[in-house]
Amino acid sequence: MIRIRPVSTPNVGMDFWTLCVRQQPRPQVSHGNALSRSSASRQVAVPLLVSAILLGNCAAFAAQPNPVLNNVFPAGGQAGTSVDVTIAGSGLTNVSELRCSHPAITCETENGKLFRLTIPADVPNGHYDLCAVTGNGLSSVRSFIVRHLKEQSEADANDTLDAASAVSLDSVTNGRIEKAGDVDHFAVEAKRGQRVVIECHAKRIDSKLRAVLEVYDSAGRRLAVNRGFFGIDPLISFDVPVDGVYRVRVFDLVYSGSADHIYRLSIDTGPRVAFAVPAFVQRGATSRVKLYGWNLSNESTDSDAGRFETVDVDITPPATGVSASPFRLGPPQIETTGFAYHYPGSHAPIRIGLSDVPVTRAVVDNHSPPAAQPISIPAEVSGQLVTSGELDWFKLEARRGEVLWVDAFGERIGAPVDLDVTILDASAERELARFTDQRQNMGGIRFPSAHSDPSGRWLVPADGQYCVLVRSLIGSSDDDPRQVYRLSVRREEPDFDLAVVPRRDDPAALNIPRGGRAIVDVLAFRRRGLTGAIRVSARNLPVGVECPDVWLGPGVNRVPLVVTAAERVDDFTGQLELEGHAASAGTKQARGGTVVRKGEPTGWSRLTDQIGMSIAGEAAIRITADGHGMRKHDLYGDLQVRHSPGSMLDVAVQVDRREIDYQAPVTITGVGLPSVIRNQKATIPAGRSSGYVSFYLPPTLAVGQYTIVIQGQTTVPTGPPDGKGVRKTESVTIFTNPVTFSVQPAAFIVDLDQDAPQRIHRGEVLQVKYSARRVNGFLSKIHTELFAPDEVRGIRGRGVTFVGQTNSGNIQIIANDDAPLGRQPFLRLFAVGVLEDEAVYHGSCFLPIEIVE
Amino acid sequence: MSRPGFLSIVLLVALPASSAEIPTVSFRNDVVPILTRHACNSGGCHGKATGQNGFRLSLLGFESDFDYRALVLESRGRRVFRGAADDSLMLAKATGRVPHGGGRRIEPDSEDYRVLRDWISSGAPGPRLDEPQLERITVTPDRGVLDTASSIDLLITAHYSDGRQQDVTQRGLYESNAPDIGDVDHLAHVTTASRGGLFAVMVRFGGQIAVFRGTVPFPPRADLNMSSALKAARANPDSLDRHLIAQWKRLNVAPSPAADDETFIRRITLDISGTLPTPDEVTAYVADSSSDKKSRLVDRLLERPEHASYFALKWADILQNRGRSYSSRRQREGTALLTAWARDSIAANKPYDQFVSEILTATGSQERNPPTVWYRSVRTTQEYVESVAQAFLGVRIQCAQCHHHPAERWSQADYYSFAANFARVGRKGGFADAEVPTSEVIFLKNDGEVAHPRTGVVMQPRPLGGPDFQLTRYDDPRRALAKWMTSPDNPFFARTMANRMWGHFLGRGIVHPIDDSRSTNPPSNPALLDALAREFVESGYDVRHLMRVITGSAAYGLSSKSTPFNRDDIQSFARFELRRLSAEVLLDSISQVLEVPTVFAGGPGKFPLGTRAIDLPDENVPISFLDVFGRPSRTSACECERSDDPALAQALELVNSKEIQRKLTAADGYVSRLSANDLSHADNVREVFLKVFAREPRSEESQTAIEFLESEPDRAEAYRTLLWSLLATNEFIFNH
Repeated sequence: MIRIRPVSTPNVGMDFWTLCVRQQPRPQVSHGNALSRSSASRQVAVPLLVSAILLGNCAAFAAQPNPVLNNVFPAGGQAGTSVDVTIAGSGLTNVSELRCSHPAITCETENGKLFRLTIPADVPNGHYDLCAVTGNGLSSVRSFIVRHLKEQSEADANDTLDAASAVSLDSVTNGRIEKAGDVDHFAVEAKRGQRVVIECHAKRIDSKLRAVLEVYDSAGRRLAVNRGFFGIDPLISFDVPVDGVYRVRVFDLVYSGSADHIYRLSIDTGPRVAFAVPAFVQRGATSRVKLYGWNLSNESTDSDAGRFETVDVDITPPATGVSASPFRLGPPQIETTGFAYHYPGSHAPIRIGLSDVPVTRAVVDNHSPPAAQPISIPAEVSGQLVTSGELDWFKLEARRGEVLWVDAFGERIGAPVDLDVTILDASAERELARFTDQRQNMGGIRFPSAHSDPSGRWLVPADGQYCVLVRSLIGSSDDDPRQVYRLSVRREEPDFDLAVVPRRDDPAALNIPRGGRAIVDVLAFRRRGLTGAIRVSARNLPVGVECPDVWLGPGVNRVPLVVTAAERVDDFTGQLELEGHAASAGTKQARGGTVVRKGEPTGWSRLTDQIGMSIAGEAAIRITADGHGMRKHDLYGDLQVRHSPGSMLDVAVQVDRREIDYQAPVTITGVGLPSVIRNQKATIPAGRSSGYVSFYLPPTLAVGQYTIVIQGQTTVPTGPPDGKGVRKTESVTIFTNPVTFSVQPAAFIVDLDQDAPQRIHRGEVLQVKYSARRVNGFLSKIHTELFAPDEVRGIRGRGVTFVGQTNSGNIQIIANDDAPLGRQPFLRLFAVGVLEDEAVYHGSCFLPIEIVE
Repeated sequence: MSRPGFLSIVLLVALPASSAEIPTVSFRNDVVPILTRHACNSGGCHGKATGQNGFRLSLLGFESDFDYRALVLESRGRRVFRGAADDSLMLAKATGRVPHGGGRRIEPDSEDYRVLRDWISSGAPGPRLDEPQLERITVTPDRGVLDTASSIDLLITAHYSDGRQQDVTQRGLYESNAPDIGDVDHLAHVTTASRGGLFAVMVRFGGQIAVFRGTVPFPPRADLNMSSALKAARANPDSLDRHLIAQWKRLNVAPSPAADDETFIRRITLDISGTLPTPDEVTAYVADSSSDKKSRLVDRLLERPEHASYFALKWADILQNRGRSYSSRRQREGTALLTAWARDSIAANKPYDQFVSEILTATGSQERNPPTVWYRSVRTTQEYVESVAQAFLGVRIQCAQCHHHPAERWSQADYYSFAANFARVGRKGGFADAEVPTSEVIFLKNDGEVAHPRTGVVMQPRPLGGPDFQLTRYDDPRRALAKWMTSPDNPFFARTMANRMWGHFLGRGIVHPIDDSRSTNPPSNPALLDALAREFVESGYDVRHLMRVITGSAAYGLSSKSTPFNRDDIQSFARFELRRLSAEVLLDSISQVLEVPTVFAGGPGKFPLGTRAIDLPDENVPISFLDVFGRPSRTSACECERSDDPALAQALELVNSKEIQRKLTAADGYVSRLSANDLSHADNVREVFLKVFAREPRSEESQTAIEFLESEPDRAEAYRTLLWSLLATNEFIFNH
């Protein structure tokens, strides 16, 4: 494919699009006197035509392929060694290196197919992300595990017990169920009395494998099986009965297999930590924590430990901040904060949560209301529901009118519980509030953030004592010490977290074409009563890259964020740093989120430590939005638009195609609208380079700052014309720069009468009844006109002015004899509220009137 | 036995002081039983759900309030005419004086007519709360040993709450469960036929049921030497066999002699592991002369993975672990997990009470807790009640969903109280990619109730036949249910499993069918069933122990060949009952003999070569052989879904199917190996017979086979034909 390079112009330092925009005046919102479109087209045509001639008129700008990393094999390595890694995926052309989220891990490659990763000895055990740097930009990420155990890869022929590949104890084997029906076997020699822990990492390394582990003795008798311990990844703790060779079998539960069915099988006798109680500690305070796991101590010291060994350790967490965490975390865990604790000699770190207040440990005998354990607010309680059906009771004092936020953590800290928290009166008879699943899934299938942990707000009805009951709605029939929880009862202390996720259900990094834009979604997880706006800003952007601030308006949980690259920006491969700021909750750094695999019915995503970003390719088309154009008013001149509930947001959209001899309509619509704003669609016809889309800001829209983006859909050519002059094209979805607007309190709300006529005949005169309901104490004059963002065509409206207390009347509408038939998009009644002859307040409502013969 | 007098022998044992206030004729106690006796309220007449010609009564008269409204108040009261009782429509219709679709049911000069007329004449009073309630009925005698071609009259006594007893023999309804052994007429006159056996007569009056159990010994035979027969049967009077021996003696039935070793090892290997014994296993067992070889064989078999697979298949049927009809690729993960859980449980010999509790109280996701997959198939009130009752309690309670069970004590209240145990089963998550959501999480809902469909009363969780559970609002009723169910004194639980296992190994339950336990379908050998259940409970619900006891019984070791002394008996386990191999076992056996595994179509993955039919996770693996041979679709908890009925398609499948042809002609199969080896035909024939029949060929069989093989120029074709023929024999297809 022939690619056009950025246009060289004598205007050094000015890029292609800048040139275009300079040549072409920004469309202006005018009142009945829109800029002539043909003249705008003529003006923009000049430089494009020049460039087309210079380059032989054979340009092609197919959309950049999305580099997707399907698997990395092996998906891990031993610290202090180098490991040769292969990759597979799509869009992986011209791969220059693999890049790890741990900066000390370096990569070399000679052929772009085999990559040697060097892992320094001081890289801590943990889970990291790996992505490929390709000619198409950064790829999506895949897991890469670092351990201190010896590593080896699966031998080829190990499909039967008798053909098991010999592996050594205390090692990790990288394997793959490469085809459907494949079954892998490994033989390991162990001695009587050893406790061998056999663990398979599959889902936790983004593999498609749904692994089953089995252990057989030398006579072929199956001694143990496991189909899921950490989620669906299996683990077997195996006490060796006699010296001998034992075989480990790995296969897929439903006998699937493919190149993406990779796994890491560790067989070792070293210390392993499964979980900790408490699962969280106070920042900066040394705390005693009981670790549960295997090979931790010679004997279990805890009667509730069941099949686990335990050991008590003192842990001192960081007092402030959280370093990059070497853990694989799911979307719901974005609301948890933790740090890595490495138990000496253990195979992997354990994540210990952090609290900003002291941690209370639940007592062991608080299983009835009389035995309720007193707690005080703010309370952060660590508990354990060891037996199924166990109830943990607490009691607290609260004052009338206090707002308390209850938040319990179970699923989000990896515990096999489905927590339910109930607040009852002091006698524990009457239920006052009940908190159950947090089922809201803000991220949808791209970032399934719903979880079963309860949270909610409770307004204390009266001074007094209350009971709090914590229980699990699920549970194993056996005692299970893993059933731990964290109960948080706090006053209204607003907080939030941000996640950056792909716009589509695709694994993808943020690759910005030169002269183009890329978009991601920012999700806000609001907590403890945070309802106000959150501003999201980028930091440390490379030169030539722009990322205007965006606002999650009041109550808004998702906003599109657009990154724009200049035409001649330098190569860049790195990360996007984002932070959010909310007035009452301070500043938070945004976390990355990635789709692991698309097509999963309930989604499969996870958090990433970094938000990968690169400059890649060139944009064939760019659209630019302006939501703050001036409005020309016959009476009051040029008006700066004031947005308020009951008004309009007009967005002018400018289309700039790299190839001017190719024209196609561009359909534009809004993205990231607050849920109360109804979306609109408009089309910029082929041959025109600007248009409008308008949104009605309903009276229910809260006052505050919002950001939206306009999405365009069109086609671009992918190759030169064929013999018949026909060009191959492809559909593309493009986005504008963000449009941020401030919604201020309204002065009046304009409404059409519900019986207002919706048709007008050419030559007809209509009276349309409407009202301008005054709000917020506004009493002054309101003047109403007909208005459309580009031009009111074929009809006229005689302006009406309400004075004093008047708030309803008629506007007379006259259709010309040659008025264009049909509806005119975004036609409206536009009212201005006047203070001392200054048009200060704006209000509008759509006028859905159709011109007929 | 003398026959009691007919006309209302009223045994006024303790008349209450206020008896003068009680109407002479009670609607509930006198009128309704007459309607029942004359089938007015039967399912074929006015008792059906839609009634008959606009007149509807409760089925069999269990709802007297409803019946009173229907008879007296509905249709503007035209059915009874208090002023001239004889002109009442109900009497005119019943006696055929006006056209009646049901014909003439009551004679005008009968006692029943008089009672009905008196009731109308006295003002047709309705049921009263303060009138004596019928508490039970008794049948006298309640059991008896009867000669063939003899008779006996039963006396039915009604017992009322005021202590009154009344002979209601004339007003009861009677039905025999084995009329070919003992029949009963409408006056409770029991007559035995010419053959021996066991039978039961169900007596129904006023919503109460009683049972007469009859034993009819076979005619004594002078040539029967019971002691030598018992010796030949290796029956041990000091063991559980004593209950069998007692039964045989009672019935004048002698057991067949014990089966030979070859037959026994094939039988028990098939029954425990769903697998044929290998020639080496057969010869080693036969050659073993130690006294404990049978128990060692059982122990070995119980440890085999095939045992876990085979019984997991059985439980997957009962637990309705189905993948078909949901049309979801992802359903396979759930079915694989549930079957694997059952297999692991059996391999670990998980105590049966724990096994069932884990199913009943399952919560969480299928990944964390595979028994929750049971709740994918079982998801409605009806399915909860009927599946649990049938699978674990051996009770078919379906009837009580719409009306009082006609042959048991179960009322609608019992049904819906039992259902209330599952009212708080919550479901969430998963994805609705098919008929029902896949991969749901099962949890305890905060609320949820079941209302009686007729009264609208919210039912409290309750065990079958027991008082309400004492629960707090945070208790899962299913836990209480599981605790009740698995308690040692539960009247159903252990007996049902003991009976199910007996049925598995002996081909017929002591209660038959195995999951239809009711007083009107009594066990054929109650003492034996009680002893088995007791043994099971005392072992800590150790299923393997139960299997050892059953397979160690004399009955299990008997030959399947009948003798003149047990030819007509089918109830006393005096010989081993022949039964066809189940679909999966038959297919696996063919694969085993021909040494060519079946290739099972998979999806989403591919079953590894060597996967056996008994290893399949669900029934949604398309292979016609299994369907033709009766693989169940797993839509109910009844093992009866698995069919062993013969069909023409089965014969065609055996002789003509591509699968059999493929296995016979496989390049690396047994036939190819036989045709390529250097052994003599005689040696090969011996091995073939051991593989197929688990026995050496008889000399004439060997001779015929060798002659055939020598006559066929193509050695491969010769062996192919030989094996093909042997695989189509009943001796191969049946467990015997």
